[in-house]
Amino acid sequence: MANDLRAAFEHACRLAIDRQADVVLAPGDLFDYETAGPDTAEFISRTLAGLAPIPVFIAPGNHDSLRPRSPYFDEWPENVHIFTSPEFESRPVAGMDCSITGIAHAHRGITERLLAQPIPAPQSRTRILLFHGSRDGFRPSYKENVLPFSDAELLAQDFTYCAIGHYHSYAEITDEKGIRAAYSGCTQGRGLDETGEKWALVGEIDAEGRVTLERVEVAQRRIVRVEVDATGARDSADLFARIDESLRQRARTQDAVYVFLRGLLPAGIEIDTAAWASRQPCFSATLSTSGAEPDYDLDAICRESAASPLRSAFVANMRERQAAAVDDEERRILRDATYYGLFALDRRPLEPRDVD
Amino acid sequence: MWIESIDIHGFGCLVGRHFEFPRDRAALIVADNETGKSTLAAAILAGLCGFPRRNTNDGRRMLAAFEPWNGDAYAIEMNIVADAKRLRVERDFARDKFVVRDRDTGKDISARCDPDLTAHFLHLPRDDFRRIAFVCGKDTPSLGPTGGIQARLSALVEGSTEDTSAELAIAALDGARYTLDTGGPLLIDTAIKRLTQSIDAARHKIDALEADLAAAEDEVHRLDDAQARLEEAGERLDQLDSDFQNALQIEREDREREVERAKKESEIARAEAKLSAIDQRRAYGKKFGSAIALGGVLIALASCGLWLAQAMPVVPGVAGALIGIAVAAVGAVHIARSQFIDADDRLRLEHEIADARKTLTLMQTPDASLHPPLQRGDRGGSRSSSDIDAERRRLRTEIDELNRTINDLERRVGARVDAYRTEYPDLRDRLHALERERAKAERFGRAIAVARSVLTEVAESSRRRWAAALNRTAAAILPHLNPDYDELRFDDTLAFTVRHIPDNRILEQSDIDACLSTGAKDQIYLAVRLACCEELSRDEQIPILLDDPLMTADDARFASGLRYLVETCARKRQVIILSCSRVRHERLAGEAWFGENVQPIELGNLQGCSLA
Repeated sequence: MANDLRAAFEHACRLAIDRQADVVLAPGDLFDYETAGPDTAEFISRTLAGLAPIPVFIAPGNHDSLRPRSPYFDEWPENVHIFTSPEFESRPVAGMDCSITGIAHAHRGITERLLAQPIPAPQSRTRILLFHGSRDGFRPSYKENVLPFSDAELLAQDFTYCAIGHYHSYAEITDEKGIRAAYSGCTQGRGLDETGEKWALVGEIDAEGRVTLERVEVAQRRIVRVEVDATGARDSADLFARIDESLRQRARTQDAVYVFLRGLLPAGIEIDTAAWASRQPCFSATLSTSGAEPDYDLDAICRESAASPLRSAFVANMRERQAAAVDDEERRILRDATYYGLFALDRRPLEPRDVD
Repeated sequence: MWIESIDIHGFGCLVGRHFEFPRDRAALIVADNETGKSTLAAAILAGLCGFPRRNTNDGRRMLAAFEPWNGDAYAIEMNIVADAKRLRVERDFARDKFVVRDRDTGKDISARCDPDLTAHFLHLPRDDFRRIAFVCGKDTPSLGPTGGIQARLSALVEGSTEDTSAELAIAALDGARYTLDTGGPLLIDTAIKRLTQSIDAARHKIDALEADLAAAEDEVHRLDDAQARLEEAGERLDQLDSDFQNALQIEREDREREVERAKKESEIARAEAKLSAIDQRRAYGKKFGSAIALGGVLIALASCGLWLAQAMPVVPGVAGALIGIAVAAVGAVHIARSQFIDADDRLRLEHEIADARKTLTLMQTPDASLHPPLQRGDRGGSRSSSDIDAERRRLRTEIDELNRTINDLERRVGARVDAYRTEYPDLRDRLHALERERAKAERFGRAIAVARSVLTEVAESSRRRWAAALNRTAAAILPHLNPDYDELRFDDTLAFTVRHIPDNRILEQSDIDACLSTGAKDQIYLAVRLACCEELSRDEQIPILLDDPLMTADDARFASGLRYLVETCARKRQVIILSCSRVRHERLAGEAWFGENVQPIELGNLQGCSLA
């Protein structure tokens, strides 16, 4: 994967040269401070030097924050400017009526809502804000809440465009003028929260400050999540045939594939995930059965109230609760509870359902 | 279920005994105390259920208690009818062997049978069967734990054909365990607690690493400061080195000037000495010339005087005057010549002295143009080279100290950063894994709790239904056993209340246990047990074994109770009564209901037999 990350980075830099970019913006997390060695820093530095004379602006994020012995404290090519202040500061782009305003995270990152106040913007015609922050309402639970902001706070800033880093998927923030800010997402997926195409953004800002963004895929390898319904599978061969058919349609050989079984998994089907994975032609393959439900026909159990009144009443009660549940988590708990209750009634072992 | 007969090869005091029980009426075994009556009851129970497992204290104790006295075979055979099958049960307690055969086919069906036949056919494990269907008048009447009985009541009222019941399911949910990588299975709360401890420990380590890294950041600032001070000290040292060289040069030149001045002063002294010698010589010449001149004048004057006094002839006088004048002239010449003695030397000496003095004056007032590279600079000032050197040494010591500090800080910062980079990724991954695991355990726990809660809620209706049914059944039984009480009411935990008719008082179970007479208490609990048996006999009739069930009752209630047992209960299910009340039974033997519903069975008289 490390090679894939580097290849995507190089691809993004080549894209800047090919498109004759005026400026390259990197809103943080170019590397992980904990694991990035001199080799990584040297690679990034060398690749960015290859962009010269295109200026590169880097606003360190929470993962590549300014900490002792950070590679950002080393020598960098002349065309690379790294923001090192924990307060917003502005730099002009040479030869253009354009300025970049950026900020650096230090240590574990800035957690204040700095965008709640107006950020001083230079007088240049095109004013770009570059930072690494958390958009309210979209933060995955595992992401740290750094430099949080709301759309309203961001849109109230006097900047032509904001290049934002932190979230690993593309997202744009717009108002009546059009695009005002965007997360490019990461350039190469690494996990299940980073599936599908991964892009670098090629942006253009016209004289009136209108922003257009083109997403260009730079990752050579995608993380592909495929859901396959196991309901009604006759046997494991039938099930694997379904999976393989889904993969043929949705995954390429260079991709990393995660297959999630859904639906009702008939009892007695043995799934040798390791053997299946070893047969796959793609870069890597993982099969998860955690999403498949036990082979209970809950509708039938509800109907069969005379034959099994307790089970029927239990399942019906659980379904009513699920229907009234206010969020997915509660629904998931209730769904699990339904199966645990049935397991208990049927004297089946109570194992925690490993649902992702 | 019906017990048709029992062959006791050896069980306690009973050896080689055969008993047959009637199919159409109650069996009554009347025997005196210590004759093996309770042993027979225990043998029937052991034949049906076996003993508790041998690896338990109860199992070992009971197995030993009924071991035949004379080393006979420790075995029982029974013929029973259960689940519409005629079965032969063979138990060899000594060899721990258990065989069940279908008497119609002769097939061994042991593999399909639970050795606890009441659990298998009646869904009542040994302990629960004992609680409701095996009444021993000498035991305490309390039912004990009734969870299993409640479960079976629920299962029956729910119409389940299996052993499924809310109580068992709830018990299973209560017993849910969570297995951690590090151990288990554990109670879910315990697992969550352990995970939380591990998370806290990992967080603590991460916090320590973060604190170390923060300390490293402070040290980096100190390092920057030390490096700036080192740079400044280096510059100061360079300046001091330069000043030192300048000072050395100046001091060298000062020393040279001192030598030069001394030399000049010596030259002046020598020149002045020479000058003085010249002047002395001149003065001497002048004095000598003056003396000669004076002598000449005196001679001339004396000669003239004598001549004028005519004391002397003219010629000698004139001659003398002329000689005097000549001598004076010589003296004058000598004086004149003395002014020019060593005149060149004197002039040269005077020039030399003047030049030397001028040089000295110049040396005493240094001219900047004379020593342009040797300015006593602002830094050096007028300090001596030794002062500067001392400062240089102090600065070098300071630089050494700064270098040591820098090295130490570099080493410490490096160690902290290395430790962070080495340990943090693993710790972070471990923390995330633990947090995921805890979230999973918590989700498991919450789902289990929800399932339990809903099952309990759903089961409430079942419980209410079987409680109502029990109430009806008990209400029909109790007046036969004790007419002073009625309204036997069960709640959904199988706890019950009863009304004392004479004073219309409702008694809680605790009141019954604590306050009622032994007889009343036994009769109420017997009614409870019979009601339970009635309700639990929907699929398969439960046989009832009563060992001196009414021994604490008065004669009237004994008769009434016995009549209900043999006349009503025994119509529905098998009733086996063992009693030592021979007189009471002989008195009732003349009653028609007794003769029609009771078959007396002789136990035989065993001397010395006693209950274990």
